[in-house]
Order: sequence, then structure tokens, then C-alpha cells
Amino acid sequence: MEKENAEPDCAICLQKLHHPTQLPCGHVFCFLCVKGIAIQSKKCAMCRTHIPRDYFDHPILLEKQPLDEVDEDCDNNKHQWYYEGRNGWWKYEERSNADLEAAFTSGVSECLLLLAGTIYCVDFQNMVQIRRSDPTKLRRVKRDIPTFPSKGIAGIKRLDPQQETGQTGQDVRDENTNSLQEGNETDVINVSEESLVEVDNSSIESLSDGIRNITLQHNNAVDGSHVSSPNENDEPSSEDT
Amino acid sequence: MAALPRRIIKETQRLMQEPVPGISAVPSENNARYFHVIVTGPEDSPFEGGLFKLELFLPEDYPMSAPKVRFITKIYHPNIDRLGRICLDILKDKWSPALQIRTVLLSIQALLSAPNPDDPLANDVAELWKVNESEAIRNAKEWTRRYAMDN
Repeated sequence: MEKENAEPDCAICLQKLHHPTQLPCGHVFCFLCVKGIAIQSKKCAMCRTHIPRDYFDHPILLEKQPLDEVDEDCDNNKHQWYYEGRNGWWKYEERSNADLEAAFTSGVSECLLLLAGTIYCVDFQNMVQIRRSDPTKLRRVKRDIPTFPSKGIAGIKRLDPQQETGQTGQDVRDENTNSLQEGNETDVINVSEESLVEVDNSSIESLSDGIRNITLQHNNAVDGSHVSSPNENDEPSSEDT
Repeated sequence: MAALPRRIIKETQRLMQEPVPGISAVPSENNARYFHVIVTGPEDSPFEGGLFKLELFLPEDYPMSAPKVRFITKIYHPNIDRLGRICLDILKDKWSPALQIRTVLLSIQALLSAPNPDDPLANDVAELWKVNESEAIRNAKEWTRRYAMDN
């Protein structure tokens, strides 16, 4: 109704598509909305086609480089929220980020988020994100400048190879940790932070921050040219560079 | 406490701005996830002329989970039991997050037009509907008159 010629909204969140992601059946939703249905019903919301278990090993993102620093010049006024994953920090997706920022600046002590069909509480006092249905699942969060080195946005791995070195598995307790800590790509799996990472089972694991390879497609073309290794340290494949 | 997800806000606005004919759904003043619903009995059905009250609740993980919907007004229907619970696949295993409050209520209205006694929830009603449909329809009309009119 609103904008006649605008892109169609995502049928799941009813908003403009954020990081449009295409399922094998051809239907397109936001990346996080696809994650939600892949965890819950494991079926496409439009046609109920089964979503393969390993779909998130190679999600089909229809967007060019989604991980940009859009407006580097006005960084100083803006804040980005991050949650901790294995060996680094993920940016929250734009909408969650806006919710967190609004809640935080309004002075409340926590903020509830519905992310991929699961409810999380972000506790601003302790700066952690807790899964409501299972409070043992928690991750640290932080508010930082938008250019802080991150793994990507909400599970969409950064594609820029320079940024992709992967932080080491060292305990990143210091909030000022910066890219100097990167560079060691070995043995990133065996780290103490593992317990902070939310992984309940293999299917969720494949959805969580272990998203290894993202197939980037501009419009329609179908995968086929990519051979990706399941190795944790692999760079995401990219047709862009 | 929790901010209302944008999707719920959007659906609520649309329900107000472009209401579905024969259906009204109004969020409760103290709980934006709880809707007071009225569905009119479809024409050419035994429920014609009736106004049926329902309650609809959006669970925390909506739209990943289906809304919970129940008839408050008593109704004689093979797929709706004495407690108002509704046997409808899209409210259970056929739920999809692409469905909405609006589509759910339309499906419920359609269920009133097309009772399905082969998939019953109210067994005695379904039984009568199968063995003596005209009597079942008479009962349904009588219940509609008694419970779903002038209130």
C-alpha cells in the first residue's frame, strides 16, 4: 500500500528486506527471518519447501557487499552494538541495533530482542545477551564505534578479505582490543570462549556464528561454481573480488 | 516491558486502517498482543446473522509460532469444541510466519462456511453432522440464535 513501486516487504517481518536471502525454492526473506524459519519450522514460509539442514553453509545473499561501513565520516556520533562470537564480535543487525541504542540511551536496564524467532534479553548492567528460554546461553555484548573490527553482521560473515583474518582465540576481555590481535588464524576453535557461544546442536551450530561460507549472488544465478571447505578458517567465497 | 515487534505494530495498524469485511480485531488496552475479535457468521451458513466473539493472542515468538485463537461465544460446529478451541491446521502444524492475524481470521470464517466433520474436535457434533446433517444444521442455527445474536 505504502510505496507502490518499492521492493516487496519481507513476508515474515513485514518490513523492507534486510539482507535479502534466497532459499533454494526461490523465495526471498531477510537473512534473520530465514534463520528463524530454518530453526523453527525448517520450511519456506511461502511454499513450505523444506530448508536443507546445511543451507546456512552457503546461504544465497542477494545483496552485494552487505557489510560496508556506510558512513565512515560520521562514526563518532554513532554507536554500533556487538555481540561476542567465536573469535570476535558480530555486529547486531540494523534493526536490533536501533532497538538497543534506543533502549540504552533511554536509560532502561535491559532490552528484549526477538532475533530469528528467539527471544533474548540484553542486560545493560552486565553487558550480556541472555537467551530467555535458556539463561545459560549468554554472550557478552558491547557498544562501540561502527568501525570496530567485526566478523560481520548478525551471522553474515564479512567478505572483505583484509578484515577477514579472524581474531585469535585469545580471551578478548579488554574492550580496547583491536585489530592488532588478529593475524593468527590457527586453532580458532579450541578456545575458552566456546562456552559463551550459543550452540545447542549441530543444526543450530551451522546457523550460528560458524557460518562459514557465504555465496554471494547478485541476482539470480544459482550456486554451482563454489566449492567450499567446511573448515572453520576458510574465507567466505566471493565472486566480487 | 518488551517493546512490541514492528511486525505486530504493522499488522495492528493495517487491521485498523483496512479492516476485513465481517471481521474486527481490536487489541486490548493493556496488552497489545491480546486481541478482541468479532467474526460475523458467513452468509448461507447456519451461523449467518451471528456475531461470534473470539480471543486471539500473539505468543512471544510470533510470527514464528501461530497465534492462539479461541471462540468465546458458544458455537455448534464440528471443528470447534465446548471450550471454543478450534481445529484448524494453520493454527497448528501448517502455520507459516507468512500468515497473519488477518489471514487466520479469514480462515476461521471460512471454516464456519465449510465445517469439516471428518476432522472433528467436537465428536458428538461431528457425528451428528455426518449421520444427520439437517438436524446438525438446525442445532447450529439454534445455537447461533441463542448465543450469537443480540449482544
